[in-house]
Parts: sequence; structure tokens; C-alpha cells
Amino acid sequence: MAENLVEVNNLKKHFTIGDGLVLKAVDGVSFTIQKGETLGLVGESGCGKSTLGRTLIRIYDRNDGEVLFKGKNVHTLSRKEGRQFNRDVQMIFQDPQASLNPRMIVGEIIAEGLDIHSLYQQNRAERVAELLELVGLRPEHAKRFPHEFSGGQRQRIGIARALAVDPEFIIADEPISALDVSIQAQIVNLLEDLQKEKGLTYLFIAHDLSMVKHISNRIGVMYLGKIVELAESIELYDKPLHPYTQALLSAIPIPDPMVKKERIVLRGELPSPANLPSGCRFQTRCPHATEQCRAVEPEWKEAQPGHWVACHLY
Amino acid sequence: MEHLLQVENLKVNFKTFGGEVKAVRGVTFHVDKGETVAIVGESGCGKSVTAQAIMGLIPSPPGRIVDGSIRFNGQEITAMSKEELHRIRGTQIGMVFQDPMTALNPTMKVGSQIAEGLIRHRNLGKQEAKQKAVEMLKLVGIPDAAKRAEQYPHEFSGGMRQRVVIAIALACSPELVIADEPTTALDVTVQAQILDLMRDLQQQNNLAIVLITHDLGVVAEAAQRAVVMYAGIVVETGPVEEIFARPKHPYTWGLMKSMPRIDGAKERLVPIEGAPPDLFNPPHGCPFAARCDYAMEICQRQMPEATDFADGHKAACWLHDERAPKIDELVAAGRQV
Repeated sequence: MAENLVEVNNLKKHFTIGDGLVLKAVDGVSFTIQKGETLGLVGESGCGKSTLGRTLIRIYDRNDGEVLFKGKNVHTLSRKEGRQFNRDVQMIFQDPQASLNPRMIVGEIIAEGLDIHSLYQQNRAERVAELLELVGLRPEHAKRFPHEFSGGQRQRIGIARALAVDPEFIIADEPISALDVSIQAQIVNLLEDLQKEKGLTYLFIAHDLSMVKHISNRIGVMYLGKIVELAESIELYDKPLHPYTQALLSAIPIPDPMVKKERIVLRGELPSPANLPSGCRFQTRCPHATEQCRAVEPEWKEAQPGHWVACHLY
Repeated sequence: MEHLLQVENLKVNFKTFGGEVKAVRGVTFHVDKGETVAIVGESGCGKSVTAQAIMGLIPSPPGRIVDGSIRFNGQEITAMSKEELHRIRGTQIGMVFQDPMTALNPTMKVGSQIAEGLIRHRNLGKQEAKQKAVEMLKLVGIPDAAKRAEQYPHEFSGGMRQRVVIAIALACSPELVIADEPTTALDVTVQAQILDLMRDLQQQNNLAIVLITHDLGVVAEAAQRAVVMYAGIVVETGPVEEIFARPKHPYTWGLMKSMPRIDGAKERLVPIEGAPPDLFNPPHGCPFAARCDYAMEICQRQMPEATDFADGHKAACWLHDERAPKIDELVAAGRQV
């Protein structure tokens, strides 16, 4: 059994949005991430996947539940432990334009973390050059500003910055969504190579299911603040159990005009996470919904070994 | 037979502080009644500028059409006055944009936005136009249409907003709809709904659609023919089945290999290394030569002519010149595949 690097138990993150309304962005999720694996997290806009990532890395405090990193609750760390956590866990963002300070040169952007954590101070310049080469850029790029780079190159800078402090766990929130297809493949290959070389663990958040399947060992599917299904990526795509996962997979356009497939079209609209339906959250749109689904929220259970699902059908 | 839309050797430049960008550098394609033609390519390849030119929406200055012609129903769009363009956009060509929030007026009720065009171009009275607007909302699958017509765009979800934009585009029964990345801002389940809707409406009305997209999955699902653009030129065009089964241009090969297949086994992705050329000073030869695994000397120096294959399938690549070595010979000589 591989070691659990991250353990999430019944995590909740709610936002108060005025008028006494509470938006339940993350509403009780539990999963583990093993050392060295890539866990993919998919779901549509507003399902809470980014909020989940941000709560894991302590950008948000949690409302309930706990996140254990190497066995320690990340939201109750001491100051000193918190500093170590900030080194061990790094984030890569979606928009490489917005996540790099336009007034800092690339070398300073990458070295900022080194200075904060007093790392590599003797050979700071060499460290920056080494990181730039690691992500496929050139050492002389350290003197340039972010606007002098293309989107794909900027994402490489974001990756170099994340790697500077030797993290163990990287949360990548839609790291390739803003990039062109041919550039996406470059970045995904880079992330895979770095994982092999450095034994990194990834949480890969995205809405592009083909890419998530490609990069992940296991995948969790989120709907309205809950993980509704979690399994090995091949298993999830071959035998999706939850009706939402089935609909989501059937909606992906396949780049082959010869393939004609049955598409499950979802009825209705996504309910508001501030006004959740009773029982199962998916019951308003589910083709298999019964009385039980409307009344009782399904439990999170292991339907088959390693294949978790929250649905009354199983 | 004359095509509904014929774009011939279209060239569009934009003046900037850095010099003149040659965004579209000689694009030729056509669209017939009732068919969907997809224009595919990555950011900056000129696909949206081509669409803007067809609609007469190139901002000028800084942009201008330097050369070429766009014939729609036998009329030359590039020679039209502002008023004529206005009329044609309202009645014969509909438009659907990527972001339904910015395409709609946030301060105007949805029903009035649909009625606006009907009053102006179809001479309907206010009441009549309003009624027709409600009908259009029903047609695009918005439940409770009469009530929804009285609401504002912010009261709609992204998918519903895009349905409203489609209703506006179709209100005056155009013959051609230009859809610029109509599903890119939407989630996949909503994208599936919108693509289905567009297909149904197309069949009912014998519409022609120019679908601009970067997603090969959407192309395979929604289009009959495709135009693959790179650095302002068309590198390959033809029936969708042909392009996916027998792609002829190394850029098309690269695009296909760099995408993971949801229904395929896990293999390492093959990216296209490097980046597209700078269009301030586009290369003399093939613009893809610098990133092409099969590039030969001639590719750097001279732009290839399009070679014809079956069924209107064409590709502009020196590999298909009769004097060029066969691809297996290049591979044998140590080129990457």
C-alpha cells in the first residue's frame, strides 16, 4: 500500500453571500492522494474544484472537516510548520499572464520563494538558471519581463517558480486551459517528465477530460460541491458508474468523424450551490432519479475495490 | 454552380506600433447552402480575422483588406458601403460569438434584443416583433419563453445566454451564420446541447454555417468540410472524413498527434515543438517549415502550391510535389515521425 501524502476528510468550504444565503462551494469531500501519483479532479464551472484546491493549500480556511498533509492538519499548523508547508506544497495557475507580476523580471519571480525561505542564497543565480533550463527555457531569459514571452513559455515560468523551493506536492489548477492544443502537449509532457525526475505528487484540476485522463492515475468527478465518483482513470472511463460521469463522458466530442456515439443529454440546468436540491444533488437532472434519490442523500461508498461512488444505484 | 460564399485570396493587414501585421495572407475557400464549414487553427492563425472580414467587421483603421474578394450570394462584400453591410448583417448573415455575456446588451431585456433586428430589418410592429421573439426563444429551447423574454441577460446561465445569441442570429432567417468559437466558453455538457441545437436549426432552415474553432473534436462532430489555417494561410482543406482519415499536411498531423484521445490508450503526447512565426515578417517559404519534421530546403525559400487530392481535398505542402522524396524516404534518412 502506497503512502498517503494527502488525506482529506469531510472537507467543507462555505461562503456567505449576503441575504443570509450560504454558498456551499465544497460540501463534504473525502479522498486521499498517494505519494507520487497524479490525482485528476474534473467537473464543470461552479462545481467547486478550484475552491477545493485553494482550501487544500490554505488560501481559504475550511469550515469543517480536515486536510492532513503528511499526517498533520494543515489548517492548525504552527507558524514554523506553516512555513515548511508553504515550501512543500506549491501551486500552478491557469492564466500565466495574470499569475506573473508584470513589473518583475523572470529571474526575480522565480527567486522570490528562494529568498522568502532563505534557500540557495549562495548560488541563487545558478539555481535560477538551472530551473529555467529544467523547464525548457534559457538562462538568459532570467533578465526579461513576462510580457516578452508567449503563453506556453509563461506557463513554463510559472512551473519553474513552483519548483524553485523543492516542493513535494503541486496543485495545478487548469494549467493548460489557456494554451493552444500543440502547446498544451508540450506542458503536459514537461509536467510528466518533472514528476518522474523529482517524484512529485500532483493534484491536476481541469475541465478537459481527455487531458485529465491522459495525465492522471486516478480521477475524481465533482458535481455541486461533492465528489460523486472516484476511480482509477482507465476504470472511470471504461466503466463510469455515476449517471453524471456517464453524461459528462458522453458529451466529449471525439476527433474522429467515423465514430458515432450515443450521447446522454442532461436535462435542465445546474442548480445553484446556494440553494441545493434535497437528497442527491444530481436528482434534478438524473435520468434514473427515484423517490429515494429525492429524499435521501446517497452515501460515499466503495462500489468496487478502489472505485468510489455516491449514488443509490449501487 | 455559384457558391453561397466564396472567399478568394483574402489578405488582411493590421497597422500597429510595431509595424504591419499580416494576419490573413491569401485565404481561399467556399461555403455552399446548408453545409457547415469549420475553420480550424490555433490563436493568431487568422481564423477570427477571416470571419470578421466576411461580416465586414474589420476595424479600420488599424485593419484593412489589402487584397482578395468575398462574394456572398453574388454580391461583393469588400466593395459594400456601411449601410449595405448593415443590411446584409441584419438579414442575410447571422453572427454567434464566443462569449455570450459580452455579445448581449446587459441593460436590455432579452426579448427586446431579439425584437430589435426584426423591427429594423423585417418592418414588424413592436407587438408582432415581441411575439416573434418569444417564438424564437421557444425555438432555441428556452423553457418558459414568455417570462424569460422579459428578463435581462444576467438572469440567464452561460448556456442559456448562448441560446439567446443564437435566437438573435436566426431571428431574421439568414442564409449564413458565422459562429466564432460558439461553444468554447461553455462546459462540455452544455457544449453538447448547443451543438445539437445548431444542427437541428440548420436542418430545419437549410442554413450554411461557418464554424470557427480550435477544437478538432467539435470539427469532427459538427462540420462537413474543414479549412485548416496556420499563420494566415490555408494549409489544408477538404471533407472532414478525408482530413481525419488521410490528413496530408504535417501541421494537421501535428495537431492530431498532440491531442490525447479519450477513447484511446495512454501514449506519450507528441507536441509540435516551437511556436508559430511572427506575422510582422512572415517567412518567405512555408510558415510551418521551422516546426516541421519533414522540412526540406525548398520549404524555407518558397511557398508551396496547393496539391489536389480526391473530393476537393487540398494541401499546401512541398512533400506532395512530384519531385519531393517520399515520406518513408525522409523517415529512412533519419527524420522523426
